Amino acid sequence: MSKIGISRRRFIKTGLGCVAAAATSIGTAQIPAADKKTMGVSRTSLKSLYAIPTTCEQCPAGCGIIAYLDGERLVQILGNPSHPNNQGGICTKGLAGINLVNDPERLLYPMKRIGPRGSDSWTRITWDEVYFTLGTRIKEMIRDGRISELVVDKGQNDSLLDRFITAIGSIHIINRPALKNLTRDTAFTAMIKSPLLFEDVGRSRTILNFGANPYSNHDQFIGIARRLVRARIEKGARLITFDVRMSETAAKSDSWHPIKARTDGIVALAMAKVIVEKELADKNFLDHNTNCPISKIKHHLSPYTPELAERESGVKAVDIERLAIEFATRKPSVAIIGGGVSDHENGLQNIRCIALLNWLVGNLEKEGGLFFPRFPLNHQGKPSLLSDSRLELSHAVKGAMELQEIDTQIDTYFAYLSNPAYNDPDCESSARFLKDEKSVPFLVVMDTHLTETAMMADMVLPAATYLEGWSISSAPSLDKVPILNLRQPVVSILSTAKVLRFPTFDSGKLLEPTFQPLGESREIGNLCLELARRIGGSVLASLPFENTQDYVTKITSSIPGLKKQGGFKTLKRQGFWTDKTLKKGYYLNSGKKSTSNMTQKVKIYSDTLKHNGHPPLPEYQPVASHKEMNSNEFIFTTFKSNLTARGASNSKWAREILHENRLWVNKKKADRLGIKNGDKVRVISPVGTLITRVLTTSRIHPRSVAMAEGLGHTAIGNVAKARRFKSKDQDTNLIWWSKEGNGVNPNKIIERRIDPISGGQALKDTKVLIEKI
Amino acid sequence: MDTQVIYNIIHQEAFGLNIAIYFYLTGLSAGSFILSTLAFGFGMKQYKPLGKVGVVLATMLLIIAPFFLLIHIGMPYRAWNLFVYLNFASPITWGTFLLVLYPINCLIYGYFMFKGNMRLTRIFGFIGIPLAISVHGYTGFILAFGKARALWNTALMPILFLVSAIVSGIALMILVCIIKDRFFSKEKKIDLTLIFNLGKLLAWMIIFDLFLVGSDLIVLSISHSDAQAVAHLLLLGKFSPLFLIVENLLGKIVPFILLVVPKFRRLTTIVVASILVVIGIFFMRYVVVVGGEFIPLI
Amino acid sequence: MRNKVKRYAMLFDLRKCIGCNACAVACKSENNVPLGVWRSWVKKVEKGHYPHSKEFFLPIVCNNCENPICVTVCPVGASIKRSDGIIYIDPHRCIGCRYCMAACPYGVRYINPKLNIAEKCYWCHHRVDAGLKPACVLACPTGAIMFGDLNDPESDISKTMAKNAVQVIKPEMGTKPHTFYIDLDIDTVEAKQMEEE
Ligand SMILES: Nc1nc2c(c(=O)[nH]1)N[C@H]1C(S)=C(S)[C@@H](COP(=O)(O)OP(=O)(O)OC[C@H]3O[C@@H](n4cnc5c(=O)[nH]c(N)nc54)[C@H](O)[C@@H]3O)O[C@H]1N2
Ligand SMILES: Nc1nc2c(c(=O)[nH]1)N[C@H]1C(S)=C(S)[C@@H](COP(=O)(O)OP(=O)(O)OC[C@H]3O[C@@H](n4cnc5c(=O)[nH]c(N)nc54)[C@H](O)[C@@H]3O)O[C@H]1N2
Ligand code: SF4
Ligand code: SF4
Ligand code: SF4
Ligand code: SF4
Ligand code: SF4
Ligand SMILES: [Mo]
Repeated sequence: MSKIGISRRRFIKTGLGCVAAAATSIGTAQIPAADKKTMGVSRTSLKSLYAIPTTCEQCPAGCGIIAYLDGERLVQILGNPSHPNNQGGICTKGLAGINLVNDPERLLYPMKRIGPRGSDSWTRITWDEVYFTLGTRIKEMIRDGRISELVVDKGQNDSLLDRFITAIGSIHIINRPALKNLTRDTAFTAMIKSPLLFEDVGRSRTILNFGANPYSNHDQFIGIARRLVRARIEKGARLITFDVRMSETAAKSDSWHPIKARTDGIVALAMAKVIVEKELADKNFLDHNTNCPISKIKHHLSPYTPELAERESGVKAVDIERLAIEFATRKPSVAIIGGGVSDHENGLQNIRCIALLNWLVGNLEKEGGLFFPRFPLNHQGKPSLLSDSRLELSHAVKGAMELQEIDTQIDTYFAYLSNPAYNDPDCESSARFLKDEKSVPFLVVMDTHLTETAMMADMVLPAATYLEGWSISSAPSLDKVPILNLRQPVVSILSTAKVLRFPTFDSGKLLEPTFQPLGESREIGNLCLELARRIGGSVLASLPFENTQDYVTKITSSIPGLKKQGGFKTLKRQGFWTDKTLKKGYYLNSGKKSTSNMTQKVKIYSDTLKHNGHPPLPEYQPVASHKEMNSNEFIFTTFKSNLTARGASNSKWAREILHENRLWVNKKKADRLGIKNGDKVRVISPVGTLITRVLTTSRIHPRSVAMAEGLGHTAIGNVAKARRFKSKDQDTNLIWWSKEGNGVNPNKIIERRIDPISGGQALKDTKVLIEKI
Repeated sequence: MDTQVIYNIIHQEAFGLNIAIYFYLTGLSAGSFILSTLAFGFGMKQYKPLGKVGVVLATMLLIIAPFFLLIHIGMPYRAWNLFVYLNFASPITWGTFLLVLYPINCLIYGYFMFKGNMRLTRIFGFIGIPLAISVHGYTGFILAFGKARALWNTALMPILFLVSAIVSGIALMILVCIIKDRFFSKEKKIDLTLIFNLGKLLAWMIIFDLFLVGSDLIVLSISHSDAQAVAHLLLLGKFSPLFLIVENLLGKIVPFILLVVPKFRRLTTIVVASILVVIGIFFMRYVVVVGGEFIPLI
Repeated sequence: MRNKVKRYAMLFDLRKCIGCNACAVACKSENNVPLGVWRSWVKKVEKGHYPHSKEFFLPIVCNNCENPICVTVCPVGASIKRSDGIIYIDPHRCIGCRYCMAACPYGVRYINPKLNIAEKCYWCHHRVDAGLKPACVLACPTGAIMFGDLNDPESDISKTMAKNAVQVIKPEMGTKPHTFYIDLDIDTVEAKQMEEE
């Protein structure tokens, strides 16, 4: 059926034809032939849709997507079949992206507060007033040498914003995307001088998954989920998941091993011990590529018997032994590390323990193992041009409350797509801090919606969504080929007639100027550029761009590889670019002893840790308070559902499916406590209390309770609050789940704990008490 | 295996209360009509006074009934499509014809009856009987075609519907006759023999009805798992109060006792029994239609 | 031999399904499906006792049956079976009587609350006719959904179905469903929503 179909003429006419055709020449082997000629068709008029390839930015995965326009209206988003990472697949929130753009409750105009803070009374202002207010404040702070009084809280990275921050020299930056990964980044940087490694799961045969849930959320979500599924179903790979609850990934693994929270380290060490003692370790790799000989490791591991691990973690000693042997013999194998491992006070050491498994099988830069990220190079041969937060480790501030603790003098607090009053652990403290005019004299929030944080702001600025602006970024190189992602605006204010007259993508140039964010919303980049113009001087000099498009054009022209392949035009037609010269991808460590291209050695033994008074070898660190727990005490875990994410809070389609986050409680345990499915309980932690209904389930460890995060909003919009209302979208009057409610916000009861070595957030360590109401 | 549904969607109700009412009214109509023809069609003299009441009732009820269909359907303005596009495989299409022919026949039959033309009354009475049976029988087929709903998908459904139609028809007739005699007749005197005869008839029909319901239940409770689930729903589950107590105990067994125990042979008991039956059969329709949809298909 | 007449079918490889609901949401956007009703959804069922438990995902769409009872019962002939097996509803003819909903054994039909007529998954025939795959097939992140012509032995779906054991939901209904599954779990099909206490 794939061969018959549309005529050549029609194919070209649809615009995306060009994209697909161009993509053929790049062609990665995995793209199924049938998927190549993608286009859209209007359900009602049967006319071809206008298709524009761009990049999804709802999560760090950066999938290639195609936006379909019917006349001027954005009607659908589907995956870009040519994109090497997601290969046409797309996740639910990516699909629901049009809910974000077309949301009738979006913030579309700049406003300033007229009542007291938090009173939700506003008056509209002009952007000129915004520029003036912000420009003057920043200018004065620079002039008085107190630019440190500007706090920038960014929920999303933007390279122009980063340039601006650097140019004005502000130091108090809260980098939300990096915060959560801080522990992992620190751990890996200490071992391999790179904050992250990618997992070549598509080519592995044995995959141990510790606390990651790539079937529902992950830094490389769809890209990795797709590869895992293929490896497992089509190539017979085995996937083994350790998680405190049965995640979607665990449900679709060959086996699930419920593990007591934060004990992953000891399980990994016991496995390591089995591997070493059965002499299954890759001696060659350990000798040549690491700083720790096997004898030393063997000695270090001697106390970690599978039996001890079983007592600590609940994972059976026989399973540990069997899986260890399988991991070391059924190669290629890889152990992957998720937030379940890193989000604990012993996160850094746990990560090191699991990483040790990888070093023992010597899978670094080998097929089916781990590999370093690859970035498109600029003409200086440096990847740094595309500032990637994942490479950046300067995290000055770790959350709003730290500002209070270190008694920071604040003049202006600027939050961009960040919602600390909702998302911070112990969020009510953060909210109190932000609401206090003495601590935070001037609060500016730039967001797509009136978030919990925005409700307390002095000034709110409407942000353009990711579908309404320009940016360029390097996508995760899941096949070791550097990828450049272009994000271009797809929200058009064109008349239908005009688009129909020029339906091919090639004439996109003609149409460009009419793509524009809705209302008066603006891209953060354009805000920064305008502020730079008002501030002038060296700030302006380091931001010599007209607008975001100009910036993106100039940046891409500095990449020689891209220039040779058609430059910006190609990028726009495809939505992404892969370095053709590096098409095949390569492994630094091809496996043969002599040909290793790896120069640096893996530091299994860390001098840095030693210097700072921490154990230098991977070690398991138990936590006393978790050992002695009463029968109604649990470790509280949150998880990210695939239906919650930044930008999806007010999405009608996502909220229709998931609007309640019941507390998962182990069924047997609940029976003993006299709690039935659907009962209301009070969940009490040292910082707060929440009331929720219970889901009794056989899919969670008896010592843990779990809850999806991302629900229970008290601001943002009526959809997020599960309220039916009338708007120009008829659907909002059909909201049917008001009775079931909108869930609860778990951050109210999460303690602000950190891993003391990395400073990363330990979001999954709060001990809670459960009382039936 | 122990299972627990973690996520599923909520399904819309397909038929619901409106259809239950519709079935109820057509049932009453068919029952009344059949009684009416007893005298004129079959020459059972003792039922002669029923003739006119019956036909008036049958016609009126059948004119009201389709309004519930119109409320039920999403596109009432398109109801004419039913006459333009025909699908003879669909019981609703059968109904389209029946719902036109049957009231027309009622009118003609009634016209001749009031005119006193016994021959033509008899002829149209005979034509009317299969129509009346079909009008109610077809509603049984509507449900029986719901192949995944265990409570509906039985060949007993049309006959069960018919018998319960007659049961409710007789009960209604008793009540109407009493009211008519008491308030609107010249003598203001109730024809007790007629009422007691009807009461006897009613009692026998109730027995037949109970037999059918019982047969249905017995088979349901040993049949496939969905059927067993329905049997459970009716006997022990959410619908058991309506089914056991309202429909069968109060709606059939109590009236039956009131009607057959000679000690109770009084006008008031007959009135009470008839009222109970009329209400009971309504709940029978409700339990069948709504209860049949209660268990999700998937 | 290749048959000129097409017979479309859909195949869910449940081994690959990660229960993400992308198919359900893609359908909402492709077909403008209002809130409260679904052409496609993912039933999720838990089985077993801790720690020997499991969660199963079952995406459900219309089966576009060979013997569609919905077509049999539609009084105005608004439910129509095409020669390629797709069953669609003529939106101008349907009177919204809900009989098809009552008769379909799979609960896949609904009344559109904005239009008051019956709707269901019709395998995106507007896309299929334009040579495209249905929206949910394209969206599925793991490639768990396959769509194609069963009369063409060379089609991906024919080849996959030839090599794998496939099942349908409720074969006993005699509707001859043409939405097939690999690795279908009968307990998941039969599990019914518990009543809330
Ligand atoms: N859908 C969706 N995807 C996203 C995001 C989103 O909001 N929505 N956000 C993105 C962002 S910002 C981030 S930082 C990443 C976060 O990605 P992760 O941090 O990997 O995700 P989490 O859901 O927080 O945790 C993963 C799993 O850890 C388990 N877990 C908890 N405690 C333990 C433990 O002690 N041991 C083990 N083995 N497992 C445990 C949880 O049950 C959960 O299934 O996701 C990204 N992807
Ligand atoms: N309990 C619990 N709490 C957590 C976590 C957890 O796992 N559990 N995870 C933590 C982690 S890892 C993180 S990263 C933080 C996230 O914390 P925040 O960065 O504060 O996250 P969000 O609420 O996801 O998104 C912020 C705002 O961005 C807007 N927005 C979303 N998408 C777009 C877009 O494309 N364009 C524009 N212009 N605006 C958009 C939304 O309106 C939203 O209000 O939360 C942390 N909090
Ligand atoms: S995985 Fe992330 S980047 Fe990809 S479609 Fe989903 S939200 Fe967008
Ligand atoms: S699944 Fe139901 S609606 Fe779909 S064709 Fe079969 S009987 Fe008709
Ligand atoms: S609701 Fe529409 S499609 Fe369904 S049976 Fe009635 S007329 Fe036919
Ligand atoms: S084939 Fe089309 S109509 Fe059917 S479920 Fe998929 S997207 Fe919806
Ligand atoms: S989109 Fe694919 S993986 Fe996701 S639920 Fe549907 S069939 Fe399963
Ligand atoms: Mo994050």
